Amino acid sequence: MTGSSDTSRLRDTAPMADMAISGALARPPETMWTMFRQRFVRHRPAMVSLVVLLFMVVACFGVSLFVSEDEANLIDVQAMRSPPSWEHPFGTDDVGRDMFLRTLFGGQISLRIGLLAACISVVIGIAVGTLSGYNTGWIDNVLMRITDALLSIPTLFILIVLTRVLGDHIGVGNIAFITLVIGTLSWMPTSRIVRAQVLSLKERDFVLGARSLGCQAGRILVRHIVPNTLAPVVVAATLDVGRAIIFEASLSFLGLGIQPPTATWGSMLNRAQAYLLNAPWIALFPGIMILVTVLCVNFLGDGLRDAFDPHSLR
Amino acid sequence: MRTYILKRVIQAIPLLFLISFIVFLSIQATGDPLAAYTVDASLTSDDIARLKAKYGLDQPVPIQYLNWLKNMATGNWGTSYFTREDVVDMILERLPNTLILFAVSYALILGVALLLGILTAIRQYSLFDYSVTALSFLGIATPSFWLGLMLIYLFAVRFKAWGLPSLPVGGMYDLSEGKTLAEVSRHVILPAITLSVVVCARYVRYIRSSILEQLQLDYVRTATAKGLRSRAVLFRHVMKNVLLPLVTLVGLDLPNFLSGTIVIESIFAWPGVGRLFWSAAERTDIPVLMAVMLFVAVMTVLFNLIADIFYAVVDPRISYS
Repeated sequence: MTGSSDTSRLRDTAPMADMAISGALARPPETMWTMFRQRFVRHRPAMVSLVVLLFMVVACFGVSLFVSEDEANLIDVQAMRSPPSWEHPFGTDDVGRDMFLRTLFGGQISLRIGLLAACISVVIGIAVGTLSGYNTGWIDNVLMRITDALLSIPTLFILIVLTRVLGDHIGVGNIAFITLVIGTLSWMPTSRIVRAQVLSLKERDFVLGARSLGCQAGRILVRHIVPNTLAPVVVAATLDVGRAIIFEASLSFLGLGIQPPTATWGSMLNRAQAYLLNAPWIALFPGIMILVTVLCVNFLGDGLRDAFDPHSLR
Repeated sequence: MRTYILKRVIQAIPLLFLISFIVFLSIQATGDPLAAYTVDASLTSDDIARLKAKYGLDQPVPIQYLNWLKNMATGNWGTSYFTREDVVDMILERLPNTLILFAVSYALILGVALLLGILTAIRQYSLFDYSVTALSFLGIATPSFWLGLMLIYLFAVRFKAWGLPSLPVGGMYDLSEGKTLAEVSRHVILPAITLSVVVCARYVRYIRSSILEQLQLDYVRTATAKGLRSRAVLFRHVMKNVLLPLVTLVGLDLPNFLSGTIVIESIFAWPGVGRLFWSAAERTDIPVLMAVMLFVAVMTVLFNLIADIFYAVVDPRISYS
């Protein structure tokens, strides 16, 4: 779509170079950022996803302004397992708590864990990737073998062992701990992407230039190499957010994540399992929220990838 | 060729050591492995000391690691703290069930993904293509355990209520019917579908884009130019190049699949390795946890090794240096 309009503009301007130049001067110069923004805005699924995600963040965190968490967790035996209605849009759960409010409060934790775990994973991934890409030799070898090893052990197995057994010491369901564990177990793909980028970037002339001007290795990395790796890292990070949300939900679903009465989408599904027969709506809404969030985050990543890539044809 | 295989095998060895070390560390980090025992207040400190000596826990940590490694290498994987069964027996007893699930899931994944991938690629930008692409985006984002619950609700609960032929909620066979082929296949359908959807959605996207990419290449133009029909070009030439990387993809996906089995096997009460791990985790049954973790990791490494070697044997373009 954008590709065709770009080429048609080129074709139009080519014979009339004078006009093209005056036209170009009249327009503000196209910086990398404006080009990026234009391409991103034209990616319709990504724009829609961005709006949906922003709406969800506002709804999940904004609800705290009107209702306290204790009110959301209020047990109302009169209204046990009532199906969705005007009063309770998502129905109520097995002890009569309003599913709508709990889903919003659950979103706070799920979204927070997803974002923070992705941040941790990106930081570790960039650190490991640059170290190993810039220093070929034993450092690279050791770091990449650790990456391979961690990729070979199915993540959920380590997650369960760490949260289950360490949980006995620091308290099962410690949000910071779960975020940290998910983050430190999902940096491997990012580090591989960064390493590949650094390997090719460090041979470029601008790095040679910086080095011949007497730039120190650390400064070359931080100022010149790492910023150039960021585009694919941001895309990988969006995927990490989705994955972290699903990991947290899986852990909470198994009963190892955040503990009741605090709601998360996963722990609500855990309870829903027992009432599937009579109250299926308890299972329906938290799952849809996970699905929509991960879907939007993936579309966002898609849009970012296309927007970062100047060769993209969309 | 032989040197390539040898090199890949030799590369796998330090990897296995590293994995064993990570497995050991992740359990070691958890502190007291005898916590499950010491809740029993009637134990005296003498008893605890004796237990520690029995399991070698009075040794320094590096020695414990070496001892554990030696035991693992000699097939002495220990006994469960709870059932007193040999851990190797426990894994071997459940492994075939997980393999059944794996085989059925992957037959489903590859069959559906190939069909949809080919159809969407040859009808690019059709309504069918757009709907499948939309569905696969949905599939990729679906949390599989939630999908499992929804499928149970639809096919086990609702279908029964509507008087339609329904599928069982869980387990591997009805005790009244016994472990017959028909029973097991009836029970495997829902967990297999649940495990398949996410992976299948990703494969459809991969196969579609991979076919479209191949169709641009010169060899396709040559084949068409010499008068080959498009069906022959697709199946005789293009699909070869699309299918080969799938082998590697399946290998790389194995850890994800195994992670999935923990949750799915526990939802559907499928007596496999994932459920064994999960019940061991609930009881902090350290020997079982360590053994299953090491086992699945070693399986992953071996599977990837085989995939790499197979790929090199089948594709002559891989350099064996």
